Amino acid sequence: MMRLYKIENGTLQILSCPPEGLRRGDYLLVEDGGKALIAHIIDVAFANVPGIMEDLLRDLSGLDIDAEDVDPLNLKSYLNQVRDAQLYICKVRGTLSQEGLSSDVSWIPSRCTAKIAKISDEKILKMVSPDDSMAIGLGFTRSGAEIAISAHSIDGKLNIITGKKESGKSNFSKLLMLGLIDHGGKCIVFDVNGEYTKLGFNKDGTQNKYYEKVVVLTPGRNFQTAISYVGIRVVLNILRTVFDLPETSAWEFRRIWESLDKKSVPTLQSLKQAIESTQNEFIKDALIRRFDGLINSSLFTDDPKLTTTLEDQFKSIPKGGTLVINLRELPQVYKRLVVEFVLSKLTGLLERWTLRGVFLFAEEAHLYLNDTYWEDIVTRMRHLGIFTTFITNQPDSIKQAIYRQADNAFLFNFTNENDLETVSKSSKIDVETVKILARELPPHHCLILGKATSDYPMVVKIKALNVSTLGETRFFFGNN
Amino acid sequence: MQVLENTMQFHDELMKLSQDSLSGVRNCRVVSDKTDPSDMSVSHDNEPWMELNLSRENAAIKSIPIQSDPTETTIVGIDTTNVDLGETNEGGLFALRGTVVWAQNHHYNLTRYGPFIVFATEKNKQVLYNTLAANLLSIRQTYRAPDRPYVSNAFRAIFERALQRNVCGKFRNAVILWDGSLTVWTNDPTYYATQRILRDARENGNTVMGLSKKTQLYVGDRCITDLIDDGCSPCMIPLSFVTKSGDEEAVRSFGRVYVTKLAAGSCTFRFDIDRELTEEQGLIGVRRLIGNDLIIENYPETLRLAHIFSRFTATEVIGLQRYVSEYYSFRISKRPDVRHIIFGPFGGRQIMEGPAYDAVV
Ligand SMILES: Nc1ncnc2c1ncn2[C@@H]1O[C@H](COP(=O)(O)OP(=O)(O)OP(=O)(O)O)[C@@H](O)[C@H]1O
Ligand SMILES: [Mg+2]
Repeated sequence: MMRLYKIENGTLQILSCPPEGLRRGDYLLVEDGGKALIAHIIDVAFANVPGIMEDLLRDLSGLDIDAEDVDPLNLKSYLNQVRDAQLYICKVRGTLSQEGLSSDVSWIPSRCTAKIAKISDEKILKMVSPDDSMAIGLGFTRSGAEIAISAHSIDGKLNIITGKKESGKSNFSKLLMLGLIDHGGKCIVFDVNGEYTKLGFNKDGTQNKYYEKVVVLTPGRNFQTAISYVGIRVVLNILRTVFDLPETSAWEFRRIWESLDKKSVPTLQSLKQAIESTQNEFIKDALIRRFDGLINSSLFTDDPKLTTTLEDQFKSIPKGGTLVINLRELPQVYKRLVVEFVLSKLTGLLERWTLRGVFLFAEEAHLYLNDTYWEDIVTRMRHLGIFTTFITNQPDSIKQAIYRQADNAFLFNFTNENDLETVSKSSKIDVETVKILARELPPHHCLILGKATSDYPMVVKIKALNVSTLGETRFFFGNN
Repeated sequence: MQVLENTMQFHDELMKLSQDSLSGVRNCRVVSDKTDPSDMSVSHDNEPWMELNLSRENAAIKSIPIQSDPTETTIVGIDTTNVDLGETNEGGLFALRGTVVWAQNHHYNLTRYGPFIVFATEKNKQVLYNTLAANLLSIRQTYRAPDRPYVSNAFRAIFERALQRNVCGKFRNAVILWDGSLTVWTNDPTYYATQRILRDARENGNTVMGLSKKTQLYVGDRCITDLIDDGCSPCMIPLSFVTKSGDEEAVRSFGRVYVTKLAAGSCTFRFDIDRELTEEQGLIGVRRLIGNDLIIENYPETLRLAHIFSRFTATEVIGLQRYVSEYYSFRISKRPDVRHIIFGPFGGRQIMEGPAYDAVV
């Protein structure tokens, strides 16, 4: 039996005797007068039953006594229920009425007449997204029911997946990605560990249904472009941000490019020659050093047989799929170079409507993303149609401002207090909910916060993918 | 192990009492709930009043030092309690529980009987009372059942005597501690039973002593506690007494009365020792008590445990009230309690446990 006990600062306290054995993360319906509050248990405590201290002290003093209870009415078990009475501390997440779900939490049910019962996560999900034509299956609730979210709740959104190492973030992001692909979504992933490269294969090495839809691009190997394709804007940007090219030299480079451009399409070779004939020795040195870096990246080539474009790659996945930008074996500076090139190019494609939109997955973005790009990604690029999912095991590598912009947070287990602190402060939901629920997430369980579950926080056991996960470059070339 | 030989019959009897009385309780409307869980000191202080005949000089001179005697002896303590659970128009609902604790070889054993729940109405109380007295104490005579406020206490008194009877018949050569004095109203239903129980006890070589922790003894206007120096403890002071003129017939003490101080620095208690034993036999009993039981704050551990384990805690009262309301549709509705309003939920006596959340069931 449950009774509403207290309402304080938006927190409900519900008394349960005999204890119902509910857990943190469970939902309750507090029904009164034809509508019901949806209460989310964020903590479970013992009720402060009067006299319990005396009770327990007496038990303790009897520990070394040979004691026997002659209790023919068997009242002891009954009395123990009172001692074990539980208090469920709940946050109110919304109201369920004839009109359906609403976020109205302004009314208070009666203590005397309110009926309280558990409601399953899957029931809540059914109510929040009744149409499941765009469902992405994620896993199971603790009671074993399947749980899916709608692809719409990821579309146009900014997402963050975070959790400690080995907690299952990548498995989840792949699951999400394949779900989007199932619905025709186009994705691109910056794959620092090469772990997305075998998404097209089953664990046993055979090809799966995504085989054609997973295009692995390894910069410098099967992913080279003409420098003219990249364009002066991007090349300059790369020289400036990745290679720290001083402003005066940047001016000179622009002059060189533009004068070459008037005559023909600039190539690595023609640019190099022009740089070498620069008068100012300082500028010449500065430019040569950086331009060599650009050439050594092997991202660019003058050989038309080897060049490719992002447009071409996207054309190869007309019904959805993903480009895996394999950054695994690239030196640090080149990672940045590739990422900035790809982002600039994507922006261009979206501006010209060559691409409707793209889901970008960025693992450990702080390793390759310059400060200036973060803001851009969540503001300008998002408006253009780049919908980013950041994946990291260092929550503090993502700025508060980004968290505030995020529509969905997928949290895996954290043990580190600092990490918990960062995540709980940054999420849009109350601090307690995140702190209490995220701390005790079992392995491969995810706390979903945000639009994906219509702001009803939910703990889900994420299913394991049957795809090969480890990236082996050799394997990729063998199949290309 | 159960102490009581005829245990089965014993609680069959009490079970029957519970069930018979509760069968009349279904769907009763409750008029008041007089139980405030925070204040449940059970009053069974209806001991006969007596005036003690002592003078200061007398008392001081006669003080008898006591040495501990480690001769292996079983020490038994018996206590019972009752608690009111609520009232209806027809009657009252209460619970009984009793505990027997025995120390053997410095090891403590305990058997607890109950809780038993009784619903006594104006209609059934007389039958219940007589049946209980007859079946537990073989009292054939009928006594008028007490008025409502004293019903639960009177039932408890019979229950307690019955436990004492069982214990005195079962143990041999033991020191048996009763809670309270050995003074009984001659018109009390348990009067003859008490006499018989003490006789049985003696036949089994047992020494029965009654300890009254609540009895305040005064000499003139000074508390008797002051009469004993710490220096002479453990010691006992024998007291003679007179009953108040006119009451001679009404009250009888089965005990030889002493004031004792069993350990230094602690309060004194009144000790009644079966007066049919010789004074020396009684003192041997006291020495063995000190030698075989823990004496804490001048109080034997066996009796302390018996008291603690019988007592109903607030939690248990809540549980019992839930039980009757669930199984007998007996609703105990809380009335606003003035003390709650003035002093907070626990009448100002809350035990601080400091959890993050608090609730009252
Ligand atoms: N839902 C799941 N069910 C079963 N196993 C899983 C699940 N998710 C992940 N795993 C396994 O747990 C291990 C770690 O998973 P994963 O690589 O996704 O974690 P991660 O959080 O991305 O780790 P890292 O911080 O190293 O990137 C892998 O071996 C993976 O196969
Ligand atoms: Mg990972």
